[in-house]
Amino acid sequence: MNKFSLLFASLLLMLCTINAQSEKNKKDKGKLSGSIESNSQYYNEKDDDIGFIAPYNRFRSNNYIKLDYTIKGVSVGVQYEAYEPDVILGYPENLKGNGITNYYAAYNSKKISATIGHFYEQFGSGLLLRSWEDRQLGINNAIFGTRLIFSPNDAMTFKAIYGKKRDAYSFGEGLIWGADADLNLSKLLKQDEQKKGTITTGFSYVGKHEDYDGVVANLPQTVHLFSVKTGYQKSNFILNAEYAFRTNDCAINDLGKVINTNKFFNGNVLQLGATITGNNSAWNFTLRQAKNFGMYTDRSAKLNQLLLNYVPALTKQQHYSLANIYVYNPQVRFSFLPGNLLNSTGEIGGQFEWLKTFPKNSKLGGKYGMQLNVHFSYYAALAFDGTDVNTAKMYSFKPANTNFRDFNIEVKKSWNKNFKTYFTYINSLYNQKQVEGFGSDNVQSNILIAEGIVKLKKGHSIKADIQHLWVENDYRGNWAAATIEYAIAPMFNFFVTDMYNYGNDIKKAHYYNVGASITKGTTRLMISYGRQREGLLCVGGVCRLVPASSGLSMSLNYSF
Amino acid sequence: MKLFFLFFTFFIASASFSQESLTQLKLKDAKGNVVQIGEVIQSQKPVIISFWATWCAPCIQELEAIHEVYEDWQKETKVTLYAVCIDDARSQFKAMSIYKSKGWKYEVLYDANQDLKRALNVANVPNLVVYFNGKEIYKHSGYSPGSEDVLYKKIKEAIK
Repeated sequence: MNKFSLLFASLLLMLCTINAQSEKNKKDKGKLSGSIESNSQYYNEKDDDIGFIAPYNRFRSNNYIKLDYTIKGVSVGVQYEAYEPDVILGYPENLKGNGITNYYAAYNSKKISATIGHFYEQFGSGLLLRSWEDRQLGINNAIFGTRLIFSPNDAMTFKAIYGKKRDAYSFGEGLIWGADADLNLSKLLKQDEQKKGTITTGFSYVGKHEDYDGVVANLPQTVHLFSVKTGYQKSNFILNAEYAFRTNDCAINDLGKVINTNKFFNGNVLQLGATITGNNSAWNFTLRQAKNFGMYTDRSAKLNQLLLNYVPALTKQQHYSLANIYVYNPQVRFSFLPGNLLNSTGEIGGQFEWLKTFPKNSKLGGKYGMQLNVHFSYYAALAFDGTDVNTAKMYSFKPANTNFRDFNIEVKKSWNKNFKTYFTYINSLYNQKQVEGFGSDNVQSNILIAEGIVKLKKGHSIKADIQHLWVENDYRGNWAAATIEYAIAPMFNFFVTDMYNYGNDIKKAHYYNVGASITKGTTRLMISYGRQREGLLCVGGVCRLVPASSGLSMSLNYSF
Repeated sequence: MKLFFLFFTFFIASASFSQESLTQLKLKDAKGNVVQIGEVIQSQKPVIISFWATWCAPCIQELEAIHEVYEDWQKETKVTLYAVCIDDARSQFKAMSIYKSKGWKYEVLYDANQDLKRALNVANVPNLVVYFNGKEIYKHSGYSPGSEDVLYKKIKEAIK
């Protein structure tokens, strides 16, 4: 890989030089763009209040440099990553070191796109295949291989891929290949979309193969996945349905070990969604069953390593700090308790959301308007009898115990041009025992949050919130939190936050942070000092466990 | 050594290139029509490409703030705002609900595989890029109340 990557970098440099030289003579000299991101931590030696002791390297830094060069439909690019002298705590440890991690060359025309090297792709909503980057989560599972996309017209797109997924500085063992078709039937049949609405459909196939020479007899080394989806859309109405199926595969426990069975298991997902929009209001409904469907390209992969597909939690994505303590991690794959006791086979549930704007000068809206958002979600484990995966009877469409339930209500009110408030109430039930494998199956919490934003003189503003969380059946107990932020648009931002875990009998700690950021164009520098709470950090339903820590943080972003 | 090499490339490069070339990317709009970004930003009227997500509170605050003055902006400068939604499968379907319930008049585009976000090297949302006659005239990331006034000032200056 290193030989290749150096070759690539040289090629890029060559192109740059040629272009720099011929800058004056040529009209189209192409475009070079890129970005730098640097996140660093300098840890305190120790912090008794939160039980933190500095790791071996107290200074740790995650860095990314991305460069792309495009000329007349041809583009090449590289990404260099450095985790030196060590990886920030909570990120995959195999990232330690540095190197060129991604590189590609691509050709794009109106109808055809071809890529070799690393690329990011998802078929449909990602149920069968998704490769993506999320630096906050330490995820980059770009596929290294070949991709072809053919769109003969606006109504049809066909894709084919072949390759292996990236894992830190190397690849997974599992080979993957697949094809996807996305069709707009209304456009193909030249129907009047205004009158009759738009009908779309799609088909996907993905295969994966990994050699096996272990003790389990007849273990399927190749697994196939299929999906079919359809959608209908008319002015104020959207309907979606998708069904996905995987062929028999072995059972693997949470440590990435194949369980010795004489039986193999298929999996499926059925997902239905509807959106109805009216005058200043909208309703969303989603229902989903997922059974044995979260997959890796490699049998030995764990956590967020080498994920093949994407079956996210369909719950509300919260942004307040206390609302992110009990977040749901979807239970879509088989999970096992120590001793390979079957813990979960999948989940079934759904969500409902209502958004409403009471316009200005209406009865409820007042002079400046009011907005309301109500959200409810419920997920249950799929039922099964027995704890030995060889003999257990597993059911579809039959809910057992509750995994997660939440109810959210949010009201935003503008009092005048310069002052608005947000009030939030969240009630949730979290089955910690099912989701994390320990603790209570009935963690009940209530959260109240009030936030206000005041616009002062030109460009100056203050944002403040207070939050409280009441909880039952969790030894960590209640929390209180507050944030205050002062901004001078568009450049400066200063903030102080604190989360106080006053209900915790073991460590009553303040998790405070003080910081500032400065933004100029696309350059952003942020420095903060404080403590990090231990817990799950989730982005888009994928979570990473972050350990408690304290110290100085710096982050820098630049792009051009 | 490799690090040095890359940094070197990077600085040479950033010093010697303009940003006039265009991206070939295609995105889908709310009705499923294909939109070629290269064509959009060639417009002889100002174009704002604003990246947002349904779970990003400051993004929604920014789009709400612009919504209040969007009609005036359009009258005075003929500007068009493309609200590029980077949500993945988890919440993409909520984009239309937010858009409709808030009565926004923007053009909505979906960037679920984040191709455009990556092509423009957008690190975080909210993030916006303004084009006029195919040239990038302003870029900004983050939002705090009042940022929209600076944005509008830049647009007016550019089209003068």
